[in-house]
Amino acid sequence: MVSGRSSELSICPYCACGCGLYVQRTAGRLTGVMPSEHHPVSAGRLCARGWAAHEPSLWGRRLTQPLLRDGDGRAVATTWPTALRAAAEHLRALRAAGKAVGVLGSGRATNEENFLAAGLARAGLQSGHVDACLRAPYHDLLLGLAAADPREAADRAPPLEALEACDVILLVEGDLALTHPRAAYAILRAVRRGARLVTAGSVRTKLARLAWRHLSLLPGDEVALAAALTGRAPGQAPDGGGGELREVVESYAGAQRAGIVIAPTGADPAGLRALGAALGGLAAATGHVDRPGSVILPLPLRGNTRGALEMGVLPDALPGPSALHDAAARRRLAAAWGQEPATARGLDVERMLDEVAGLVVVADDPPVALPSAERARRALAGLECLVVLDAFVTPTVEAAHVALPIASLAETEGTFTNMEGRVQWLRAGAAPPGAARPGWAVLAALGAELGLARPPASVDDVLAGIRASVPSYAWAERRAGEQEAWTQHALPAVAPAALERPAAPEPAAPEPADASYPFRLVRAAAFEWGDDPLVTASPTLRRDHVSLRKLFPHGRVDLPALDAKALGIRDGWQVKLVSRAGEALIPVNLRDDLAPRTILVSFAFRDQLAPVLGAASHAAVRVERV
Amino acid sequence: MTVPQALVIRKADLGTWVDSLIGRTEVIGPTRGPRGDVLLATLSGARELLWDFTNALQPPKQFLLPQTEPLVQIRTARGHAQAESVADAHPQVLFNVRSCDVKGFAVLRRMHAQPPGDTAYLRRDEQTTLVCLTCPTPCPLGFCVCADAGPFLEEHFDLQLTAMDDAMFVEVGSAKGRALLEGQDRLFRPAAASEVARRAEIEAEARRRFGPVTCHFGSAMRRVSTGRVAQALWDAIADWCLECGGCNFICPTCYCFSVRDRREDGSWERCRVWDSCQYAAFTLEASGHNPRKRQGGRVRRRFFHKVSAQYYQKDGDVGCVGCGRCITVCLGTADMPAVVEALRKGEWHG
Amino acid sequence: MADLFLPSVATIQDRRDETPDTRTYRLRFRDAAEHERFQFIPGQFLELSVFGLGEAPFCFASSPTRKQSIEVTVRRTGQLTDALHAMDAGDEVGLRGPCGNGFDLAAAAGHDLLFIAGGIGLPPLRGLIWNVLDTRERFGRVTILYGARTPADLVYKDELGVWQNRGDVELHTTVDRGDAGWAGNVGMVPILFDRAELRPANTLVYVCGPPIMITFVIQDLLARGFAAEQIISTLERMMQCGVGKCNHCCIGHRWVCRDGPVFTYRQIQEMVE
Repeated sequence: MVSGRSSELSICPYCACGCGLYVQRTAGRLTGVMPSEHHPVSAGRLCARGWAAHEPSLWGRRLTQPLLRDGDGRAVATTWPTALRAAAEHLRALRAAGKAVGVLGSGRATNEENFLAAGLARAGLQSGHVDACLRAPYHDLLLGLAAADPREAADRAPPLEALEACDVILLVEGDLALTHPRAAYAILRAVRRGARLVTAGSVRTKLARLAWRHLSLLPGDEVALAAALTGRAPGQAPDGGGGELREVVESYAGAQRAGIVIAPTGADPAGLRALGAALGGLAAATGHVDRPGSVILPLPLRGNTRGALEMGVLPDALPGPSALHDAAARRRLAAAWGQEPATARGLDVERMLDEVAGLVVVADDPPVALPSAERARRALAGLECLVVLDAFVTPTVEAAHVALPIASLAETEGTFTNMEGRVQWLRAGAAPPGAARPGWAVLAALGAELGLARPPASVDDVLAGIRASVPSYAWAERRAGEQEAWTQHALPAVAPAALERPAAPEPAAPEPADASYPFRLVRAAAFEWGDDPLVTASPTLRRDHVSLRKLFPHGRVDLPALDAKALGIRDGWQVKLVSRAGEALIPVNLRDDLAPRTILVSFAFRDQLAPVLGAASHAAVRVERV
Repeated sequence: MTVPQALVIRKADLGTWVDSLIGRTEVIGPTRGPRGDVLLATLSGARELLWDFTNALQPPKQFLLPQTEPLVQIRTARGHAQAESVADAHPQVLFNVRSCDVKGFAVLRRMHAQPPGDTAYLRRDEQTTLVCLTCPTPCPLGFCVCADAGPFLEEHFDLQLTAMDDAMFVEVGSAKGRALLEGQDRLFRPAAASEVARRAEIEAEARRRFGPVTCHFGSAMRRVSTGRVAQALWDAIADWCLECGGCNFICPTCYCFSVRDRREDGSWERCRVWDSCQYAAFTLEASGHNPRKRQGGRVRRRFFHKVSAQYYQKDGDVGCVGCGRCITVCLGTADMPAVVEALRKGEWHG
Repeated sequence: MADLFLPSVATIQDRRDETPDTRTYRLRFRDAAEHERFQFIPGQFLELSVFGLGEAPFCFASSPTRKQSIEVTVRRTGQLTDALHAMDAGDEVGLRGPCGNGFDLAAAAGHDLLFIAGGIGLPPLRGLIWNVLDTRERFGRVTILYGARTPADLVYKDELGVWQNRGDVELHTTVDRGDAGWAGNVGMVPILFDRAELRPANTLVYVCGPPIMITFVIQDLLARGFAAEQIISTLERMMQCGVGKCNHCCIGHRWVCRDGPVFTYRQIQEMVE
């Protein structure tokens, strides 16, 4: 008679805004989502992805049984004990043979899962190779900001709320309305109230159309911007040229409440650091760091990227972050993880994939999120032991030697940390299918197989371990009737060790465009949702975020229509792009909203242009008709 | 107009009545959720039911039109397919539904009854009893008076409750409504003349409290219906809309959907799922052609469906009940009152 | 009331290649009595299920006067049609219908009928043409003008010959580009207007094909004195339910799946997007 219709208050897992939503079920099965009217972040609103948050669990291709690859390379269903033992034995054997092993956490995993993943690497496998895809672009921004030291301001108002009340907002974006809709909404509200918006990016986006000023900022321009900003800080004589930038700086400097919002662009790591340093420096020089009401908000690309960082999913630091050789931190972690952790500085995800023989991947599909999909695929295929934990059957799961099914985020209890530093509870709306288990439980069991003492018995146990060993989470716990486990509206701390990271090259000046290579080709974004499992597993989102690679199987670059006309090139024609490094053939899409002689390639087609761009985010090219 | 039978129940007896209903059928009503959210949920006891509350953001339409609704199950046995309708409708009472939502159900009922009748919806509708709770004061964002959807209704309800001092005035609007009183007759007595008068007073006062608020549907309707709204205005509105689809999902009169097949327990389950005309791919054809590629065209489509005379003539109602939910849910500034005002004035704030 | 979304199961009897990416399928309801009971008129469509992938609308390509099987002509455009193309005689599909308004044959009685089709636009008209030919005495002159991009892209190639050889039908075909074996007209469909004698008075024109072709053809017809009410076409839209509930196919306040897909040009002119 009673059909058991109920709602669980949880968090949207897509971008890092951390909107609250109810996961609804009928008779134990997920049916949909509803917004939470009084949620402090979302206040009754959700974007299209939030409204589809239940879809991946229902419609995605689910991993429901532990799988082991047999001698013929076929994936065969097996029991949990067998699968866990096989994974542990193989990883131990690799270590005994002196080979490197690593662990990837994820922005698509909870804090508890990420904390245990970091423990699996450092304590269980005694390896410093621990990282997550898309951690680096966010971290590079933070490192740049830290260098300008703007995070010393005390606990302040929630950044999204403060943003709505700002008088001037500087936004560096790919397309904020697409990447972080809730943040874009805050800016819409601010502009509606009369705020001045300055947008900076590769194209004129939806928000750029509402802006007071729009600056063209392409990957590679960050150094020039930094120089220009330093030269133009109030009180110093301008360097000449670029009146618009001066206007913008004056406006920002003179505002009572001013906001800076930075979404990772397609820039190189050094470029992102330069960007962070430039804008952080501007804020510091103009007194907006300590000003109540002013805000600096760097944006992670994925739901729990900030949490992953703070849970120690990075090669340069312990959870916290704490310095690798912080003895007190090591002791606390030894107690929480059940073993003294290794404190070696490891490799970041891209290099890790090439160097390790064994890898544990938690809830991610690395080719989708790394600068070179091809390289990542090849590296994964070449591993001796690939252990993957996921709710969905992704290509990475299909390449695994051991596949361990875990609950989807709509079926999980755990915490996510949003861009503002809110640590919020996700609640399970339904039980996972088949033999799938909560991710934290699988990681705890794997850790136990590897000899870690006192595995946690519940998700609250894991959070207790986090409380005890991650200083900024010291007050995070489950409070009855509360969704927030803890919040501190400050930027994440950055470990000094990370700042000293040896591979911090001088940002490369953009290759000069000259007569031979008159165009600037740039990689427009750091990530594209279209290929992400949370989107491909949702029929509604997949339909709208259609993977660009599916729509344009031959690839595509964006070329200014006027430049095309001058070259006699029509829309859709294939052209040859030639740089000093190499060349590639690709069709063009003509646009009216690009800066002259700029060519954009979206994240989806980065591999196709690898011969031209190499590992860089920009290159000088010429365009040849074919 | 037949005057619904008028009864009175003491407020102190409401719990007994509701508990007796919970004992024999599923009763769904507003309950207190985290942080002051009002959540519609299956009640396990009358004490959970809210009587003094601002309407939930969650639309009760989801109990007749679930967000994911299995319609057909297809099994394959020995190479042959068997298709069966999923018939899981069962009796349910939606308690303390506000008048805007009750009107919304009337609109939905008419839409789904138009031939060919939507059997899945109508089966649920048949088994659903609506108990309307009138609104003595306007809710913060509502404008039901503009849409002829409240705060008190003359029809469309099975029972309509109006709070008086110590008692609840009960109007019986249908046999389904009367059936809710069965077995609890002793708790109800016919309303006295003074109580009938009091009820009328409360309604008059409620309408007065709305004050001069008007949503100018009429004027917006004239412009939308005669093509006198510039495309540039729709494009301007679109600049302030982030295409979240929320307005469609929480609207009591929106019901657009898509149909998809999913695997469940070795068979295929064909489900109806909520969809939004604001999504770019809503009209995307297999050929790749999209007649509503431009966002301004989609915004225009939404308000044509809601507010045009063509639809008004076809459906007998404007496609809005003035519940105000779209104002709360909008991830932009394109809610119904804002757009209607823009249509009337011919200009958008942005 | 029959369940609105419940498909019947139908079996593929056989299939025939029309062009490199188009096939015609012959279907019969698995339940013989249901097949006998089933009624439809040309211009209507059915919702065909490939179980597990969903449904898609396809016009009836056969005439109700030839009910041994129901025919649909399917071009490969995506996941569902790809899966369908992999199916063969004996495989089962779902079938829901008939949907839509169909052509008004009664109103066409006594008129001269002019059919103009381009490429994959012939299937919706083919059912109507056979229906007309099977009740030939009710109608005046019957003229068919049909064109495709290349000879390989012509559908119902055998039937074109049958129509060609009938004495009571005038058929003209053309291709945009000929090939070695093509001895017929070369050029786009409007070139056929001068081959046939077009008399606006008492003629109803049925036009189906790619949108661009329809636009040019209709302009030409109007210029030759045909009235918008005499020109009849079918509209295509993204559809999900096919029965006027899901609203994907709405144009203004009309549903293409219920008020159409057959519309006169006058009605199309009056539509507000």
